[in-house]
Amino acid sequence: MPAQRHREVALSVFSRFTGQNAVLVLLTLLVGTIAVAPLGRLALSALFDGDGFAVERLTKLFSRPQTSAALVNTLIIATLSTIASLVIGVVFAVVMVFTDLKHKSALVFAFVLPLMIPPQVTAMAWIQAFSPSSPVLGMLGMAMEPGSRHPLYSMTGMVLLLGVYNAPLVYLSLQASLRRLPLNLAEAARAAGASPARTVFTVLLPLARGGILAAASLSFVSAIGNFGIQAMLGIPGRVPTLMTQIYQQVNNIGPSALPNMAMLSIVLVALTVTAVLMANWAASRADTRIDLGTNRLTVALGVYTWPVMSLLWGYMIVSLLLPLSALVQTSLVPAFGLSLSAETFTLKNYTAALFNQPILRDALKTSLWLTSVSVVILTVIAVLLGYFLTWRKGPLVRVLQFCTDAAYALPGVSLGVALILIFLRPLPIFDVSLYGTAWIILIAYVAGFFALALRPVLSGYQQIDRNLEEAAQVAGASWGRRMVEIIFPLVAPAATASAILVFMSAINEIQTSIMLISSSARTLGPMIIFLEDGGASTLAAAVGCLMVLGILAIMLITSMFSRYLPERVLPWQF
Amino acid sequence: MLQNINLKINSGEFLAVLGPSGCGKTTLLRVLAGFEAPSAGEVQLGDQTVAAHGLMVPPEKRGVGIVFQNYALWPHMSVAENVGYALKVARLPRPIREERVGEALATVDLAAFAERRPADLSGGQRQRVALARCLAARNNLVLLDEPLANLDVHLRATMEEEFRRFHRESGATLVYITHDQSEAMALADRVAVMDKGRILQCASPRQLYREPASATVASFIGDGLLFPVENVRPEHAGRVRATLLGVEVALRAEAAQGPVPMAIATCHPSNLRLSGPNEANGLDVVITSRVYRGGRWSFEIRPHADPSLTYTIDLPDHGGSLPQPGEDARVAFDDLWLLPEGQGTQFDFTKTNQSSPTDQKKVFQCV
Repeated sequence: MPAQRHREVALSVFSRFTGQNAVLVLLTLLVGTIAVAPLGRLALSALFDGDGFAVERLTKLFSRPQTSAALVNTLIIATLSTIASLVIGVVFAVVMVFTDLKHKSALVFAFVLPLMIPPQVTAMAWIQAFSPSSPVLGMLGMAMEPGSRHPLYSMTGMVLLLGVYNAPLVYLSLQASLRRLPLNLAEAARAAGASPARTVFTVLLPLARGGILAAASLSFVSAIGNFGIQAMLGIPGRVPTLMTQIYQQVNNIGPSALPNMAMLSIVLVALTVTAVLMANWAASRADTRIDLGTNRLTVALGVYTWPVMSLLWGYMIVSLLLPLSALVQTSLVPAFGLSLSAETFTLKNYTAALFNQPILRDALKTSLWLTSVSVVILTVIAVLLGYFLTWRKGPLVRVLQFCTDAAYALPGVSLGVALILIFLRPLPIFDVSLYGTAWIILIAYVAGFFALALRPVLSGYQQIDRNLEEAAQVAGASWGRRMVEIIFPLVAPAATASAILVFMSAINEIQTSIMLISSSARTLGPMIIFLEDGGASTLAAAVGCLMVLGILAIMLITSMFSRYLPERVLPWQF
Repeated sequence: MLQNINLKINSGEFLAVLGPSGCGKTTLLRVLAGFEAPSAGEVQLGDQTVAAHGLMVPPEKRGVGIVFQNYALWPHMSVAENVGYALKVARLPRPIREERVGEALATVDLAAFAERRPADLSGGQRQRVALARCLAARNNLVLLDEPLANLDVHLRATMEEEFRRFHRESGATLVYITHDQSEAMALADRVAVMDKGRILQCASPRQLYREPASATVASFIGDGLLFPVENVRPEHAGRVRATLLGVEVALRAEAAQGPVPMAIATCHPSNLRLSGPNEANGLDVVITSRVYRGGRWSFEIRPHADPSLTYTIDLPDHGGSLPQPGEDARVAFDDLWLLPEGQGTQFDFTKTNQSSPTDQKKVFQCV
């Protein structure tokens, strides 16, 4: 009797989890390729020429004054703008989490909105708001001398804009850790006689060190990688950074500049990785205690309500309303510099943007299908990957985790250079060339938004009780069946949130797109820069306004359905 | 970590696995269910070997039912869909599925709730849905993982009755994991006491209480007290005499108990009473403290013969006057059991009889 049964059972051992293991192996290969191939290709081109290690070329590259200027500028801008973001973001987070201020949802929505607007649109809005012929400042009687140099085309302008742009990131990262601080630590401080402000500064913020450092590193990495603002301000202002230098050299000189620019891309990656590692190291040394589910300290602002309120809303007016209204005004006049009045009012920029410009229409079409396909691919990858990263252990899962982290460290422009290097020549076996087609941009989106797609899904998995899967397992359901009937319905809300975030980012994506687009494959994101460069400022403003409107519509619609989504996966929700 | 587990569970038996948290009882359940593979040894269900060296039947092929501590009902399915899921996976025809789901829900009195979502049910109702899920699947072996831990105290008695009924009507073998000894005693045919990954004793509740096999079991079950005894002399089958801290006592013992110079005796706090100062065979002690616990007094005593030992005994509150702390008293034993293990060994009685602080609530989670 046992012989046959044993064979049967042994077979089932052999086939144990095979479906699952096959998916795991395929996924590891895919993610490994996405994450590691670009880095490897960059390193190969950067360090080796046809005749071995490229000592001479690299020495020359690093002794060029432009290179050191770009490196130094990048570091200064990223550091100073991080300090600015920290100050703004910490103040906002403390007020939102620890006080009884009213209308917090509206404040958070307005504060986080700029982060959702593509940086090139933000930059354009600020440029128009603070230009010597600014329509808004002119109305306020604050316009500058005509013909004077634009104040934002400078390092100060870049620091300021990046500081404001990344402040919501600091808030988002910090509020999560502030919310988890145990209330009884604050109560103990109050009982010991500390005032609310003192409690915040001597107990709660020190406990949130880890969160503050994580926020700082996030903001630093994001400042280094913000191509839109660096290009829109830095190129006309002649403040070269690593990113703008890579873009300009590849664009102006062509493929012969690629090896050196691959090296600069690696420098960018190294800066990013260093910032992340330093934050992780510092956070691991901090004694952080968290406590889920208890109430938080709520300080009654009392007489300070109005000062705090006006400070926050004043900041919103300067950082959001002023630039956006300048953008709207510019989009409604026939030529840049005209002030808006009943005679000058026109909608022709909008009709042009929507109907008369085939290039824009093509770009929108391309962006839409690229984005939709990326969203579908990334959602499937994220759901499968989240399952393995959350619930399985083993060497393959560790490889997956490593690749996931590596994908996060790759700035868009570096990814662009890497993909050009990989696809410049036709693919060896199939003999098709993807270079110059939309497919290369699709690959770039999948690789570039991989980390963004994964994060909400991972937090979704964290909220699922593993017993729900195990209950299905003892009911006899195979892994594939459990994924479809149990796991997917449970992570669907988180996957939806992740799809929304990827959609919003990819539809306006600029930095990889701008490196990879060609006359046959244009996307929406870089159009603003091209129009602005070509002198069509009013048309660019109209396109920018439409982008902001689209973003706003998505944010508002998803907010209405937010009760179906997991808590706090939509960044603009308080 | 599980070690040297050798457990034979009879078909149709209600077995409780009792132990403190971290003793390995949940690991035992996961090994039975197939979520964890034993690094050595075998698991058999019925006459089928499901885990052995180089062999591991996955949970979905074992046909085991589990009632999880948090019920693990799928929130996106109705109650009926939850109960019928295993039948759907097994591709039973729809009429049979509906009939069995209906029967199972009727058994747990939830027929009217078939179309509800789990979120609309109370804790007790969710627990009954989890039971109905095992009933519908006709699992021969059902594992219950601390099923009462998440329920209010007043619901537990009703649910205990529900488990009894489930056992009776399903005829299934039940393995019930718990850290609550009164629950285990009230429900199970046999209780397996676990500690540090080992099974210390597996016996009926009454035997466990009256005839513990080791000092650890004795002090764990019913707060048993341990006393050193000397000069153990068998009298007739199951009875011995010995000297307990200088006092001659009679004890129950295993039938085959032979004479030994040193051993351990055990009894429960309620097996001691105050005796008159002139009564023979009493243990002279000093009262160190007393606490009123509603209907009874809890006395802490130290024997004069060895003041390093401390015992807590229970005395009923008859309304009369009782000795004050600091006073001397004489206590007598109603019932003593001689442990079959631990004879002649050096045993530290000062440690086990101290009441140990049990509230180790974790307030913070360090990350």
